[in-house]
Amino acid sequence: MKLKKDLLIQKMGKTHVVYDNETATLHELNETAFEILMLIKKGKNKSEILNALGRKYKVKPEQARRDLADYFADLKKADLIVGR
Amino acid sequence: MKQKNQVLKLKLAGFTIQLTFEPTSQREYETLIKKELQRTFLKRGFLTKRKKRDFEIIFKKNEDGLETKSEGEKQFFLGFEKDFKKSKAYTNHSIGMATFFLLLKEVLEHLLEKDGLILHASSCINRRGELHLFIAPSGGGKSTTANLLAKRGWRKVSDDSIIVRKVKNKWSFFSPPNPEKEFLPFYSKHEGARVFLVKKSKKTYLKDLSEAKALRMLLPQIWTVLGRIKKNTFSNLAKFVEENEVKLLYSNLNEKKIKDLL
Repeated sequence: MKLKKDLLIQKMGKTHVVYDNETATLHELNETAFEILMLIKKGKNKSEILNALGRKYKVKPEQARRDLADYFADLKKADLIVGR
Repeated sequence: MKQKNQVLKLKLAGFTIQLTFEPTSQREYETLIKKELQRTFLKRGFLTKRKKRDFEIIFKKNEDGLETKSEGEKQFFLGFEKDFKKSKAYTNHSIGMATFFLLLKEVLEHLLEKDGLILHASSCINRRGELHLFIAPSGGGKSTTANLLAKRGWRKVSDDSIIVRKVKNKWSFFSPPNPEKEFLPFYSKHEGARVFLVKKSKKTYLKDLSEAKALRMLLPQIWTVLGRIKKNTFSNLAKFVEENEVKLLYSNLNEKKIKDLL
């Protein structure tokens, strides 16, 4: 799983934005989605991302897994990540 | 006696661009292009005698004629060649003015990567000397808005583009060097501006914009060579939106109402 090519990622005050140069689309992300994107950018796999977020947000593993799956689905739907 | 290169220097958005003319036997072209460049830039305040040089455009002597490139059965005439790593570009004395201004814009886009960008905007100054930018896609009303205000005593600075830079921690705005439709900008620099995204409407009023919405609306109005926005340019625009108030101007193109509102 990795980021789509030619994405421009920026923190703007309290907002996080991602610009897709291919489709000329700007996406606004919440903090968690932004963190996930940055972890994918660093080459982390799903387990590593799950562990990192679990540690940060102190949620039960099963809840974390479900939440993460939702985030991945949203990011994929927005065409920001590719692969499995 | 070996002839020396002749030099003109342009000041563009705080940068100094040196035009170096290698002597050539194509004297007619050499004279024509130098005269044309001097004429178009001198009276509009874009020439300078600064010693520094941020970029060099070399008009090569090209005694063998125009440079071309072949791809299969297609043949292309090379108007110019860029070597941004060396801060140089190469062209020849037979370049047309439209092609030259395109090269200049590409050079500016490259130089602006560190701290600025080019926006599609018309702009004018009110009687208090405050710069106002009107940003919209083609046909969106930006030129009309600036022209209407010019009828009311405001001074037009640009018709189609404005150069934006953050210099010494201040946002500065520079007029473009190229002719814009029927308008010839003169060199000018302004610190600070009121920024408006223009939308045609039945009524004239202002609306606040969130930073994300302003960014979304400004992105398509950045001038780029290939239509793709570079990482630094995106970052520069995000900073610009964070540090400047951008409002939505709904306009029925009534000059009095626009002027009263602003």
